[in-house]
Amino acid sequence: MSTRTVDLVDYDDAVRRYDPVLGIEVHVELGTVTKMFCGAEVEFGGEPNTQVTPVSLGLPGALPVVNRTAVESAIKIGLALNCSIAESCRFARKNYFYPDNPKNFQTSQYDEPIAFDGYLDVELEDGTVFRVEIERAHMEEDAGKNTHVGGAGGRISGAEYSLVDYNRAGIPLVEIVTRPIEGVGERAPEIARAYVKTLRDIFRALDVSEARMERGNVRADVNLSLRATPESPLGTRTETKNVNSFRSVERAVRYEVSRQAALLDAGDAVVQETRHWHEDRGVTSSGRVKSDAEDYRYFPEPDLVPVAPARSWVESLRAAQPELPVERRRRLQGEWGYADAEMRDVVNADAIDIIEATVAAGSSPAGARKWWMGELARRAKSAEVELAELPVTPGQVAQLQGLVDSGRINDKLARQALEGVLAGEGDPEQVVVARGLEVVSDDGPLLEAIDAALAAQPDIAEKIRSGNLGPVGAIIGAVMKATRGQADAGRVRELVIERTSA
Amino acid sequence: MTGTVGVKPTYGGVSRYGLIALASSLDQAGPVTRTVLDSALLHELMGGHDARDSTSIPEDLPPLVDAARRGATGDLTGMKIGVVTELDGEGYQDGVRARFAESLDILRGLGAEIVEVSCPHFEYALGAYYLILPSEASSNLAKFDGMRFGLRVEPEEGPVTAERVMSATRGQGFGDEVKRRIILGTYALSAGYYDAYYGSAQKVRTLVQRDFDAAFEQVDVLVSPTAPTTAFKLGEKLDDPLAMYLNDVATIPANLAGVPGLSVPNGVSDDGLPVGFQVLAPAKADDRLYRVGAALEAALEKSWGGPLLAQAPELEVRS
Repeated sequence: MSTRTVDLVDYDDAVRRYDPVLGIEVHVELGTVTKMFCGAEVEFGGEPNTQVTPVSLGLPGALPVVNRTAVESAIKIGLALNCSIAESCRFARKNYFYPDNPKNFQTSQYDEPIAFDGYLDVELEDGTVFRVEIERAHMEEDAGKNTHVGGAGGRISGAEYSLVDYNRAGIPLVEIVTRPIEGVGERAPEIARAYVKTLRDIFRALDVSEARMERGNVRADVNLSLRATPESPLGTRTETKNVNSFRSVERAVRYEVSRQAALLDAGDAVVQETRHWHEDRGVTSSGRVKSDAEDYRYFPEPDLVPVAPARSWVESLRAAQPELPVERRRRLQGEWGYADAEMRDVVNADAIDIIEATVAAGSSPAGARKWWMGELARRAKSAEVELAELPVTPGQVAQLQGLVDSGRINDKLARQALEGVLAGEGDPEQVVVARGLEVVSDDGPLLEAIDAALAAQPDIAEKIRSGNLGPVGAIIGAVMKATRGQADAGRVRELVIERTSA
Repeated sequence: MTGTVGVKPTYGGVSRYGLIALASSLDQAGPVTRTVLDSALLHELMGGHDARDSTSIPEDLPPLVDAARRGATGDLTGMKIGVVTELDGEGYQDGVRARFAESLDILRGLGAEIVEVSCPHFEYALGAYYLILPSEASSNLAKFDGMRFGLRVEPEEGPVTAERVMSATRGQGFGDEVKRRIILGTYALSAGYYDAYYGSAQKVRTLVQRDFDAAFEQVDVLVSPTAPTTAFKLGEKLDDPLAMYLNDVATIPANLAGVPGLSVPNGVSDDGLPVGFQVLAPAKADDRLYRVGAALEAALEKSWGGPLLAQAPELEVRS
C-alpha cells in the first residue's frame, strides 16, 4: 500500500468550485433466524464455521431455497422507501472467483430487484428535509469472512495464510441503491450521513435488523464525483467501500471531495475505482480499478424459481407497516411538548428511545429530557460511551424524577442519588434511604434550625420581623446548610415567615 | 442406442437435491433400466415433490407403473401419436430409419392413430442447448476450485496464492470436454455477448416450448428415433465435438422444454448396433411415455421372442 500523501484542497474551497454528486449503496444484514437460502442459523459471534449447511458451504449437490421471512423483510424495506414492489422478480448469479464465496458466485438480484423507484425524505440537523431518490432495493446473500494471518495489519498482501469463516456466508442482505444524489452542495457529507442514519433508524423501526453499525449489520459504499457546475455532465466517480459508521460516512465524503478537487485542479483525471476507507487515518486509498474488465457474467439463477409476492401479501404488509422514525418523532414531540430545537437536540443525541422508555416508566417528559440531555449526557460524553451504556436504566431515572416531583428530594439531592445509582448502590429509592438523602419534611427539626439561624443573625431577623422579606434567603441558606441540603427550601421559607410574623 | 430403456422425467419431477449440477435448468435425473416397467418402478420411487429443490413440482406424480402395465397389454386404441417431421430424414442412418418405420407400423397395429407433426424450431434447439448448457456449467463447476473440498493442486513454481491454487486445480482436474464447455459458457455469458448468445438461446428455448405446446394440442405423444445414428466408438469423435453434439439432436428439444422423454430399444441397425425409439409427452404427463413405451416393447419382444439384450453377442473376454 502506498504511503504517499496526497495533496488535498481545503473542503470549503473545493465545494465552492465543484459540485459534488453522491451515490450511496447500503447493505443491511437482515435479522432472520436462518440464512437466505438454507436453514443454517444466523447468530452473531458463533465459533467459526459452525453456522453452516451444505448449501452455505456450496457443497456439490446442495440447492438453495428462498427464505420467506427475508423476502418479507425486503418488501417491508421497499415499502418504507416508497418503492414499487415487483409482481415477479428473479435472483441472478454474480460470478467471481474468491474464497469467501464457496460457490464462486453470489446469488443476488440483477435486473429484476424486488423493490424499485422509491425515495426517502431525510431530515438534516437543522430540520431541513432532503429527498433522496431510491433506484432499487434488492436481496442477496452475504459472503464469508476472510482473516489474513501473518501479514501486516491483517491485510492479504504479505499474509502467510488466510482463514475463511463461512458463518456469514449466506446471511440475507438487502442492498439499497440510490440514484445519483444531486444538489447536495457543501452539505454532501451531512446529507450522506443523515441518509445512512435515517436508513438505520428505519431498519430498527421495521424490526428487520438489529442494524448495529459496529457489528457490520449496516455497511455503506459511498460513490462520489465532482463536476464543474450542476449543469455539467456527471464526473468520474469513486466508490469508497465498507464505510461502517455515521461519522466515517461524513469524513469519507469530505475526504473524497478534497482529494478529487486536488486531482481536477491539477488537470488530472479521477480514476474510476474502488477505494478503501481507513478509519484511523481518515483517508481513502486506492483499491482495485473498477472498469468494464470486471465482468460478473450475471445470468438468472436457474436453481430458483421467480419470487412473485402476492398483491394481497404486499398490501397486508403495507397495512401493518409500523410507524417510521420521522412520523414517530413528530408524534412524540407533540406528546412531550418539546420545542423544535429541544426535539432536534434529542434526536441528534440519539436519546429518543431512552427518553421514551423513561416517560413510559412514569417520568414527566420534561424531567426525562432534563436528566438524559443534561447530567447524564455530560457523564456519557466524559466517559465516551453511549447513553444506553451508562449504568442507569430509564426506570431508575423515572423513579429519580418521581422522587423530585413528590418533594421527597430536591434537585441537588437527586444528583447525589444519581451518583449512588451510577456507583451501583441500587435504585434511587434505595440510595436515598441508604445515604439519608431525604428532604426533611418534619417541621420540628426545621423550626429548630430556623430558630438557631434567626438567633445567630439578629440583624436579619429584625429586618424580616419588620416586614422586609429581602434577606429571607440568608436564613434559608443557613437552614439548608444546617440540614445538609435536605430541607425543602419552599417549606423553610414558609416557616421563616410564619415564625417572624405576629 | 445403448440397448437400454432410459427416461428423462418432466423437469422438476425428480428432485435434483444431491445431484452434482452440470446445467441446472436442464439437469434431470431419471431411470436407466432393462425394461420399461423397471423404469416406471424406479421413477415412482425417485420422483415426487422435494422442498429442498425449489424447481421441484409440488404435485404427486401421475400413476406410472399402472400406465406401464396397462401399455404392456398392447392396446393403444384412441392414442394419437405425432411423428416429428424435423427429426427424421437427412442425417439419419438407413437402419435407424427402417427400425423407426417398423415401430410405427406396430403402434398403428395396436390401435394408435399416427400423424405427422411439424416442430419448426427444433432445428435451432441444438445450438441453443449448447449455449445454455455450457453457460450454466461454467457457473456450476466454479465451486471445484480446491479451496474447501476435492482435488487441490498447488502450482509447481511461484507463490501459492488462492488464485493460483484455483487455477492449477482446475487446470489439472477437468478434462478437455469440460474445459471446452466452461470456456464456451464463460464466453457466452460475457457482458458484450450475453444478448447475442445466452439471451438468444433462451428465446429459442421459448420457441421450442411453443412448438411442443402446439404439437400436444394435436397429439397425445410425439415420437422420433432417439438418435440419428448408432453408437460411435469410445473417444472416436473427441476431435470433432460438433459431430458428437449432433448426435443429441433428437433428444435435446425435450430437455430444453422440460417435457418428459423415453427411449426404448427397437431393434438393431445394419451395423448390428442397437437403435432407440423416442416417445415425448407433455410436462407432467410422464404416464403416457410408459403406456406407449411398454406397448411397443411388448410387441417387439413378442416378435423377437425375448428381450433385445438376449440377441447381443457374447463379449470378448480379454486376458
